Amino acid sequence: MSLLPRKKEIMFALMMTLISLALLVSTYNYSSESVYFPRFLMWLQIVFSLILWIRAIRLPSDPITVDQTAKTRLAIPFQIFTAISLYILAIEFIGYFVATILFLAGSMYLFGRHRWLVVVGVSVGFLLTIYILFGLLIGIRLPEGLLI
Amino acid sequence: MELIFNGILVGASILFDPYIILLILLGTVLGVVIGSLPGLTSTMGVALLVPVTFSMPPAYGLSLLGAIYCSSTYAGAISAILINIPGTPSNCSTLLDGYPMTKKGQGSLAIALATSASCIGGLLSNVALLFLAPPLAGIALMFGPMEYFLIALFGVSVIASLSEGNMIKGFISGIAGLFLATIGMHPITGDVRFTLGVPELFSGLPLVVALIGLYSIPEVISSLSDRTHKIETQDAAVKGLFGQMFKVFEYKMILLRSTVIGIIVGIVPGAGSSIAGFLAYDDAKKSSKDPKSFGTGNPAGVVSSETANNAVVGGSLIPTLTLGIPGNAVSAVMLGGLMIHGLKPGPELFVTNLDVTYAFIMSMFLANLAFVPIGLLVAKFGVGFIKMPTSILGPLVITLGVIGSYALNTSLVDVWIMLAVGILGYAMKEFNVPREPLVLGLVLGTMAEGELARALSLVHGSVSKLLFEMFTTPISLIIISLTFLSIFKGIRVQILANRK
Repeated sequence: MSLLPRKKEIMFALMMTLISLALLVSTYNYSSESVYFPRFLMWLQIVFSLILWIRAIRLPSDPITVDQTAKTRLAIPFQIFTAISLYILAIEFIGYFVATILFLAGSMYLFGRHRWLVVVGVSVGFLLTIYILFGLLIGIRLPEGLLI
Repeated sequence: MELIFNGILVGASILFDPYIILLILLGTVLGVVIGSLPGLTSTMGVALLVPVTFSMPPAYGLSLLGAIYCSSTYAGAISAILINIPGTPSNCSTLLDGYPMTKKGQGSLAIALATSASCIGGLLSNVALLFLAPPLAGIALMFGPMEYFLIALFGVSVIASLSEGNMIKGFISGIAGLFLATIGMHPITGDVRFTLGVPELFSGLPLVVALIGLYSIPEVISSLSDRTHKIETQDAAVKGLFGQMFKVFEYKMILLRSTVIGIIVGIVPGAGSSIAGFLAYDDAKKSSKDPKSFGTGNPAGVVSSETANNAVVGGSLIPTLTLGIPGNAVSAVMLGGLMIHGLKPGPELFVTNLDVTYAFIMSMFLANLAFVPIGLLVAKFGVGFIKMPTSILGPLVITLGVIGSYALNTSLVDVWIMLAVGILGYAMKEFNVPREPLVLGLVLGTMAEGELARALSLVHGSVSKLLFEMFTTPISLIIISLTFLSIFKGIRVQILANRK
């Protein structure tokens, strides 16, 4: 694995140091007997994060470039995380089957612009397979909501 | 020895009944389906079918359960290789090289090797079960809390090998995994820690859910972000897959060593089959002439992991049948199945219930052979599945991950946990932090913390006494030596790689 640009490495090292410090402080909310191990781990994590930070600041400076793709690069992950969150909320409120069809159809259309026939066919076919495997064969009760 | 051969003959004669053959085939099919679907585990599959065996004669019921156990352990490799989500925790190490092989257009070769390696590992461990059960069972009794803690430490030393090129980040990832494993109840005091008030986390972060999130979501994001992404596929006729299976014999030494590792890990109660996969992978990598190729699609990585995790099956049944001490969670459920049929584990099982015991062991041989054609057929369908455009495959994989996470405890909270770990996995990928050490930390963390606490309580909290016992007990010394050797080898590989 190659080293990332200097700024990113420093950012990661500092982030890890801060997170480890926060978690270390949180261990003092519990009885000491229960947190020896996690406390030891966070001290170790702080040490490794500082070593990483020292290594990162010794890296050559990044060339001056304008990162035009960061916003674009994070757009798709953000869309996916939002879509999955909405999907889970939808399962809770409107039920698994309707939520899944909406999610599959919506995301396939969003990322692929496929024909509606393909989208509906794949969604219904896949849902049927899941129902047979998980619902009938294994006997798992799929989440129900206001609809199905 | 005469008793063993008598048992083999009696057991084999029972297998001539077409009904038992049908049950073994049914168990194999169910096991392959359960194992290849993320979120469904071998433990769940065996537990679901135990009540079904109530009305069956003991040999028949146990054969069905045994077939599910072997085939589900293998079948998790199919989803690990094709869509980078391990079907069961024991296949975590398979995706290290399995999925990269799929990306290079060698998915069917990976599946073929995983199938044959699993078959060979399973068959050899059954031979150990058949002939060496009583002497090997004694090993299970030699392990106490201190030895378990040292095994966890040995497992952690593998992190160095899994994070080649960036050992510091590898250790950061591993420590994060160990920390995540402390979420929930302390194994001794019972204090609930770091759960943020979520009751579903009281028993800890569910490993299967974490695996699904850690691997599926970042890969879907990668594939949807890269519009030119396409998994190269070869036409994978069943005949072609079958022919490729014989390439596994190019890795004879790996097969042998991984089988031994799997059997030993299986015998040690509580060690878990995921550890066997990682240890065998690490061993194959360190003894390879080209260790840098591991993680980029080296078939030896798939062969070692799959051989070891299926070898655990036979190994775990050794203490289960001879001592009544389950080797892992699945064999604990199998033990329940045994007792339901009125069978008492111990030496008597091999004498008084000779017919049932040997019929069960012989049926495992059949099951290991039966999952080959069935697994290859399922895999052929799977290879066709991944030929879909990523804009269709991506959402399908997410849906599978969601239902897989939900299925474990029928809880939507697990699905939210899957998403949270998925975000963590994406961040790790962005910052070039290896995810495998985190998985290893998650797998080993509970054992490491719990056994250390138990070992300390046995010496009344005296660290010096604990250290004295560590360095004066033979088993502990062996494990410590192996740990230092593993760390030394990992550092040496790193130094040599940096020089180049």
